[in-house]
This record gives sequence, structure tokens and C-alpha cells, in this order.
Amino acid sequence: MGAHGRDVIQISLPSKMEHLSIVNRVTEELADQVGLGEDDKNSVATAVIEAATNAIQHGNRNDSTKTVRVRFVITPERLEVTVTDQGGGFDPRDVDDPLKPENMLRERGRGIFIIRAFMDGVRFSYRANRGMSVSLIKNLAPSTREQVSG
Amino acid sequence: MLEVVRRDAAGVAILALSGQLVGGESGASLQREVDAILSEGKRNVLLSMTNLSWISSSGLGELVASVTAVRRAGGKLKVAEMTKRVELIIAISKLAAMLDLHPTEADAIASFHPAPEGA
Repeated sequence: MGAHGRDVIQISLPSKMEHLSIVNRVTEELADQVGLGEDDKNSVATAVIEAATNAIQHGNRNDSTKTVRVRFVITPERLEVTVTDQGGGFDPRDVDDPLKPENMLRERGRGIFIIRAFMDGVRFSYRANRGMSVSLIKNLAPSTREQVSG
Repeated sequence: MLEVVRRDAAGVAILALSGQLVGGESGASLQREVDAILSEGKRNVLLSMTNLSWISSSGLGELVASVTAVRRAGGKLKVAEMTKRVELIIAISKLAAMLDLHPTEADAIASFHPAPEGA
């Protein structure tokens, strides 16, 4: 564990869908390191992939000259993953509920819902000179906290 | 990325998916494979997911589109042998009922040909 009980790992990738597997591997590896169980690891990895997919496809509009940053912050209490694009931002309140019967057959629109369902906390922020950031928080269980700080 | 290998057995077109289903890819496409099956006049489609490590919501969208296409053509699409991670995202999206899930390929294939009543 780094200074002040906090480790920061950051990756930066061009906006190409084939790079999602790298994001997935790093997320799974860190989930293992902080001692998340199988279900939590799957949940976190799925949510992070959703955020990264949104960043690539919607934020950066699949423009491979634009970058997606994925920042992992590990503390004894939690794993926080922030995905940042270079796009114009969006209002998460504008996303329809994919579980409504009229939306069930839609091919799109499940990403934000999945992120919220799988994480303990989600924060959206937009800055004109930085793009959209989505922070995903998974709280670590007490026994896991001992492993991280040990 | 996604790889799709097709084989046919007992009147069912089986698509074995491996890698990741993230949708919007220029390579292998689930929807293209399903469309090809339907264009041959076949109507029973099984997606075997033993080696599909994960699926994104865009991939779910492609799955929904495939199910819709098969049903519109009067056919059936079933899914077998999902990994835990794939099972998780399908469950949270409440798509299990729509996808007709089976634990094994054999179970899924048998369900395409139910035994006649009274047999």
C-alpha cells in the first residue's frame, strides 16, 4: 500500500473496443489483489467494462485519436475506478429504465443501469476541459480490508 | 474479441461463442451468423456459451436482436452453458426468460424436440 494507505494505478487507451480486454484483465487482477470474491469480481469487472464501453462509443464516438483513462484507487476501505473520456458529457438522468416492459426489447440502454446495479456507489462528473468521468465504488469487506492494508 | 464456430446437430444450428461479446465489432458478428442461419431456412438456433468469458450491455443488445430476428422468422433461439459472469449480467437485466436458458447443450437440444404428450 502506497503513501497515506492508498494505491493508484492508471491506464490510458485509444478509443478502440478491442482494448476493453486490457481493461478487463487489469480490473480482474486488482479485484483479486484486494480479495474480492468471485461474484464481486465479476460485478466490478462488468461495471468497469460498461463504463469503458460508454466512454469509447458514446463519449469519444469511437474516435481512436481520443483517449479513455481508467484510474484505479485502492484504499483499505474501497476500490474506486474512475473512467474518463474526452467527450461532451451526458446527463445520467436522461437514461430510460431498461427494465420497463416497453424497453426490454431495446438493443441499447442498459449500461448505466448495470453499473448502478453492480457497484456500491456511482458518481458522474463533467468538466468542459476534461470530459466525462464516471467513478465506480466497491466497498471492501472487513476481512478484505485487512488483506489490503497488511 | 468474439469468435463463432457453427455446427449442426439434431436439426439445430449450434453457434459456439468464445471470447467476449461486446457488440459493434467489425469481426465476427453474432447477428450476421444468425441471419445466415435464417436465410438457409433453418429455425432452431442454439447459442453455446461455455467459452464466452464475458458480455457487455452492447453484446446483450446483439443477443436481444438475434432472439427477436429468430422469433420473427417463426423459430426458437436457446442459450446453453453460460459462465457465471454471463449469467450474472443476464440475470440483472431480467433477460433470462426471454433467452430460454439451459445448463447443458444436450438439455437445450432436447428441448427443441419435446416428447409428444402421452408418450
